[in-house]
Amino acid sequence: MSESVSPATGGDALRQSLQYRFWREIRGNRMAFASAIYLVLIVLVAIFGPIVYDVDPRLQTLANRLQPPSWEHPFGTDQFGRDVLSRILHGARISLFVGFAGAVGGVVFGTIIGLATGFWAGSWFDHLAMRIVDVMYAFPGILLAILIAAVLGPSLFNVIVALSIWGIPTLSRIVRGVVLSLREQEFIIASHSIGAGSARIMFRHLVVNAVGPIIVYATLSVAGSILTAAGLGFLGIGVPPPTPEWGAMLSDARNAIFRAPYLSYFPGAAIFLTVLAVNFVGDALRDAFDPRSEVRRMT
Amino acid sequence: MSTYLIKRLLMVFPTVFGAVTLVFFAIHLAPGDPIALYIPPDFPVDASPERIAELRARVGLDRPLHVQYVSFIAGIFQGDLGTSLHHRNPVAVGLLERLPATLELGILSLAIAVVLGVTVGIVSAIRRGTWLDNVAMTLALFGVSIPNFWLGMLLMQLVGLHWPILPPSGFGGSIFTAEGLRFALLPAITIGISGAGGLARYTRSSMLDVLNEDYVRTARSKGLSERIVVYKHALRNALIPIITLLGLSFGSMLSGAVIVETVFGWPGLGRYLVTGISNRDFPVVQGVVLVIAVGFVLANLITDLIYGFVDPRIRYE
Repeated sequence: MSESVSPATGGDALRQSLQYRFWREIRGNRMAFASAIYLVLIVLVAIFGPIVYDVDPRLQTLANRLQPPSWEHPFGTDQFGRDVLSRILHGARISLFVGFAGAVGGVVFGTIIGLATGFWAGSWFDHLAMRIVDVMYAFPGILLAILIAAVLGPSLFNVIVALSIWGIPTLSRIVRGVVLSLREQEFIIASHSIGAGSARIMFRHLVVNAVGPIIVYATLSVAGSILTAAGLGFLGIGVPPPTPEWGAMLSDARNAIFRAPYLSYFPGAAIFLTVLAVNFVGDALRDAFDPRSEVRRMT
Repeated sequence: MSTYLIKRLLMVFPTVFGAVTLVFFAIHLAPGDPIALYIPPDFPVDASPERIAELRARVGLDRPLHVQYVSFIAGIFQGDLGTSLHHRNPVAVGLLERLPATLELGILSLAIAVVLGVTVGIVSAIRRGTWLDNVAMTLALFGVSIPNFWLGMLLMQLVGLHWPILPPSGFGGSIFTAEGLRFALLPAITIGISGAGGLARYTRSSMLDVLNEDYVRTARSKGLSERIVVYKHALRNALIPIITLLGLSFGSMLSGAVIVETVFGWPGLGRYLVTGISNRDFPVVQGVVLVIAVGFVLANLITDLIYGFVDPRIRYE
């Protein structure tokens, strides 16, 4: 296909250079490199951990309540006598999946809205969508996710919906900004002049050229999404029990904090290290994409 | 200045109005019957359709959507945010009782976040590329990445139980009394550390931008000491963009308080919200979300006004 190698569409050359820049940045940055390895490991743990360590995370043995770590229960047991290690391992599947799926939802819808509003900047659609985004910004931090999750009721799917909507404002503003800067460039004007349709210009030209910032903010929004999902779980509007989820485990740990302080260590550390690793990688990717941009999203 | 002020004030109304509308439509656009959100805890599970219809009429959900919307808005302007299903008193009363505790905690947290974050950011920028910068920025990323409720639980165990320096949880009255402050410190430090991470990162980059400006080079080249260049020329200009962040930070302090209050048993809006969630008391959830959103919009208004005052170059277009 001759069109896929033209510089205007981005094509393989651009993709290779982006990949190259990201890879070089990750390898050159020790923390980011260690974080990337940690993330690969945690995904492997989520996939294979529950198979290797074959203990039912829902099995309640009341005789074994609140036991400190031992050979039999390496991370101890909670107030229902459930094995904490098993809950961490199964919880990794849930927490990673929810965080990732929520971020993907926000990125997909945010990108589509950002593309459309940037492409038709100044139109009634742009005005309407951007006013809605402004209003969504009026709900700071986790609040928008709380409102949506509380309205929808606790379920795995609803948490993902809440996280997706939570991610839309930031992503759509960023993509809109990128599109605004691209759309006056010659290759876009040239596409218009040879009669390319709106959809073709948006998806074949604009998305390809906005892919750098989208990847960077997609990575950072995975971190925000895992953190927010844990917050919802802690508040009791996340994935409903008895499904093991790291945030909800911390809520159980809070209720037994005086009797069994160790209960909070493992789920808390699991969330913290995972979010930290994603943030390290996201920072490195941002530096690779734009060495000057130091402005960070406030969470 | 006065046109800027008036224009900026007028901009608040659409945002507040939009936030109220969004909360209203969140209930009605969600799949399922909105009446499910208004069923009191003592309502029989096998209630007859007649009793549900009666409840629907009492809550007003039987009216056409536009009538409900108008009466929702009219109610809010009259201070009517509905009745708590659990406490059985007006939500507005419940909110007013708990607002001072959250505001005081938010202000103390913001003070901690600003002092810590801005200091670390400035030191990092001045010593950029050194080990000090690396350590500071790694710590800042820790602050951004740590779940604040976990940090709270760790601090509680360490400073409240292991070394009993501060009370591990509870409330001692207003933070402007010694006893009240003692109780407020742990939750405020918890929220403050999380906020300081983001502020430190932003301050550092704002400071670095300014240190690259021509007027800083001019100041250096005319032989001023590094100290004067940094504190008199660079810092004052770097602080201007940081001011806009304070409004945003106040918002994240409030939303941080929502979770951290639960950890420390702090009797503010956050705990009201969380007990509202666990009691399935939707009017309370809705009321707290609205109050925090409006508070956040006002905090941004105030910072924008301060910004316009501090930097006369800024005028609202």
